[in-house]
Amino acid sequence: MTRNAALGIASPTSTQHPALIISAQPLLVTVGSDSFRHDHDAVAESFGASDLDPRKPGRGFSSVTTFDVCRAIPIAGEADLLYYIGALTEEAWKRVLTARRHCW
Amino acid sequence: MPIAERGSIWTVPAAGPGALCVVVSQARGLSRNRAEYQVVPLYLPSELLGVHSASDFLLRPSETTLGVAYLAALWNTRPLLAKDLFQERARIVTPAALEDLRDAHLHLADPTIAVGLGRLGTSALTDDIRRWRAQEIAAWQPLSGRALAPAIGAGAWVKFLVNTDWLEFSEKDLERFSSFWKASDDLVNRVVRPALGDGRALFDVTMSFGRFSSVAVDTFFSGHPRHDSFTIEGVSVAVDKEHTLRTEEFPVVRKIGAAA
Repeated sequence: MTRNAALGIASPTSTQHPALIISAQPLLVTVGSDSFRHDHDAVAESFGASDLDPRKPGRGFSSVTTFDVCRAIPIAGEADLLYYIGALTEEAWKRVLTARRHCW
Repeated sequence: MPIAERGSIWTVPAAGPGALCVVVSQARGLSRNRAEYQVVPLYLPSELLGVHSASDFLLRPSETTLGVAYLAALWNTRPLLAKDLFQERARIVTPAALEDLRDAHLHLADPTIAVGLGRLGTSALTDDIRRWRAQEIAAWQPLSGRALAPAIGAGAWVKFLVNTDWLEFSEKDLERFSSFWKASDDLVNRVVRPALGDGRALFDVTMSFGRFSSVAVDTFFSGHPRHDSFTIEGVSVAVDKEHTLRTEEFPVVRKIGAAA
């Protein structure tokens, strides 16, 4: 989970959003949401509890969460990561990598 | 609002004087009339204090119409709204350079994707560079925030069945619908045959359309412009091109349930 402020988002309705780490070094994330209506031309992947690796437990998703995997955004540092949700399973992560090939 | 092509290089004054970026994706968000692109900011090597790191992609002088070497900062890649692209300054003219840049972008998440030789550097980051990068990220971040925030803020939506079509309504649509619904109260004529039951009150009401102005009718039926006829409680109502009702007047039995 990431602070909106770290992402430059000024939203009156929320202060934080799930973030999927695309790259640890440099630190790049893509922002997720469980309510955002994605554009028709977005390349999006949705993940729920079954997509998280039980061997690396975290707080989990509050509901099915969708990420536009073509968006990559830097954040200044790990201090902007509020808490750990979990790690995608190998299969779920492969979906991200495959989807990202359609971003171009 | 400019339409930018992949490989085009733009000035971004909102990120600072002289700020440049290269567009690396097709436009997205067109269905919302709010085009955005994934971009990579460009820097002269001297701006990066001569540090060419593993997340700085080298664009050679011959590969762009800028004519000098630039480093594409993958560590600062981000989505940007088209309206924040100010002027197209140059473009990448070598397809291989654009393909290598794509590979470098994918390489960030998938290290098994190889990147052309000499594109990425090996320099270690100094504290000065880290601080400078943090400043640059902070300078560009509000622009990406603009690309993300409205979409997230207007995230709520719902579908309704109108005739045979499921129509999507955004938060704003619902606000409009709510105000239209209040306005439609004028369409309800007299309440007849009230009935009370356990926990519910039932009413039959007559709706008289013919005596209302076209403005009121327009308000009531403006949920979706595609539909020029509606079915209310089994009675078909047609609206002509001026959004006035073709039918003069007829009764509609409508049941209203209210929790006691």
